[in-house]
Amino acid sequence: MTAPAITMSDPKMTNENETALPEALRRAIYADLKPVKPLAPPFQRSILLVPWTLLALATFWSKFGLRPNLPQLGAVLAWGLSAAQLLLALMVAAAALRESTPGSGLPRTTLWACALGALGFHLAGLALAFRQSPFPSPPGLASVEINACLYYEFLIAAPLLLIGLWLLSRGLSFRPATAGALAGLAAGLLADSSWRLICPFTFPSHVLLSHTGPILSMVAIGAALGALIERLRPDRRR
Amino acid sequence: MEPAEGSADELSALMVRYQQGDGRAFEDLYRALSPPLRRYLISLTRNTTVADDLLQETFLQLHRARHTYQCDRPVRPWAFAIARHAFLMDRRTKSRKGFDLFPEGEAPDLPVPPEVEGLADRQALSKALRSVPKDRREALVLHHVVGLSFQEIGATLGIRGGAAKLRAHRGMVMLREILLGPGRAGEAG
Repeated sequence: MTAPAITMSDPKMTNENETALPEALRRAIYADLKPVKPLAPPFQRSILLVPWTLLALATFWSKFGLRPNLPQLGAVLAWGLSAAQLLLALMVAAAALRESTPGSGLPRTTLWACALGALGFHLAGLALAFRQSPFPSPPGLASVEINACLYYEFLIAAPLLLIGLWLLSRGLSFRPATAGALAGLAAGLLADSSWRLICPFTFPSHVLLSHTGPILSMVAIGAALGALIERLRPDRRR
Repeated sequence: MEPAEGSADELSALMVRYQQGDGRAFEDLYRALSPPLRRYLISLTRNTTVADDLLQETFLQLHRARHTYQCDRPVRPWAFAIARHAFLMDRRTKSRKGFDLFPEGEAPDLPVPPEVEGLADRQALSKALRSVPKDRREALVLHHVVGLSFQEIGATLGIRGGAAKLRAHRGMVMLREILLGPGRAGEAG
C-alpha cells in the first residue's frame, strides 16, 4: 500500500516552526508504517545474475559441447577471459544497482569509464582469441548458421536483462535510462562470457556482429526499458 | 557554517528504527532533516510555498523508498538526493504543463552563506546568489548553508567530491565578485 500523495501546502508548515510535522504528512506516514527489509548492497544483489549465466553455460555445453579450438586458446584465453568478463559484468551490474539507491550513484565519468572499460575488455578478448586461433568461416556453412550466435546470445541475455531490471525496479533510480543501459551491458557481457566458450569462430566479421552486436543491442534495450518501467510505476507518477 | 542537524550516527540509527516501523523514529528524523532540506529546497525553487510542498513530497518519497537506505551509508546524501529528485520531477511536470517555474508571490528568501552575510543587506545577497550559475549555487548552498561535506554533496549530486568542492569554491568566488566587484573578492576573506 502506498501513502496518498500530498500536493497542497500545509498551513501548519511555517518559517517559525519548520520542524513541526504537518498533520497530513503524519497521517499518510502512519497509515503505511510497516517494517521494511533494507536492500542488500549492490554487488551482493548483482550475484543473483550468476545462476542463470551458469545454467545457460551448462545447458549449451551439454547440447553443443565446448568450442573445438579451446586447446589452441589455452586456459587463460578461454576460461580466464570468460571468468574475468563475468566479474566485470557483475561490477557493471553493481554500478547499475547503485544508481537505484538514492545518494550512492557513481559520477557520470566513472560510469562511462566502467562501461567503456568493460566493453574494451570484451573487444580485447575477441582480438586476442583471433590472434591465438584465427578460426575462419568453414566453407559451405551458411551465414544463418554462423549467426546462430546472435540468437543464442539474445536467448541468454534477455532473461538476465529482465532480472537486472527487476532488481533495479526494487530501488529508486533517478537516472533510469542510465541504470537500464548498464543493466543491459551487464546482461550482454554475462551472456557472452558463457557463449564464447561454445562458439568457435573468431573472425572479426562474425564476432563483432554476433557477439558484440547483442551486447550493444542489450544496452539500447535496457536504456529504453529502464526509462519505461520507471515512468510506468504507479507510485512515481505525478 | 551551520552543520546539518543530527550527527551521522544518530541519523543512521533513526533510519534503521524507521525501517523497522518505528513512527517516533520518523518524527525525530523529520525534526532533524526538515530544516536543512527546506533551506535546500528554497534555494532550488526560490519560493517558500513551493519548497514547503516539495518538502512534504520529499518525505513521502523518502517513506516509499525507505527500504533503499543502507545502514552503512550516510543518511543525508540519501535524503538530499531524494529532495533533489522531487524538485526535478516537479519542475519537469510544471514545465510540461506550461506552469511558471518560479512563480512570484511570497518573497523568495534564499538561504545565504554566513561567510558573505556582512557584505550587503539580505535582499542584495539574495539577488547576488541568484546570479550564481545553478550548479555552483547548489554546491555552495549545500556546503555553506546546509553544512554537508563535499563527499556528501558529491553523493547527492552524483559527482565527485572534488568536483563538488570546485563548484562550491567557484560559486563563492563569483558571489564575492558580484557583491564586492571584480578583483576584490579575495579581500573579504
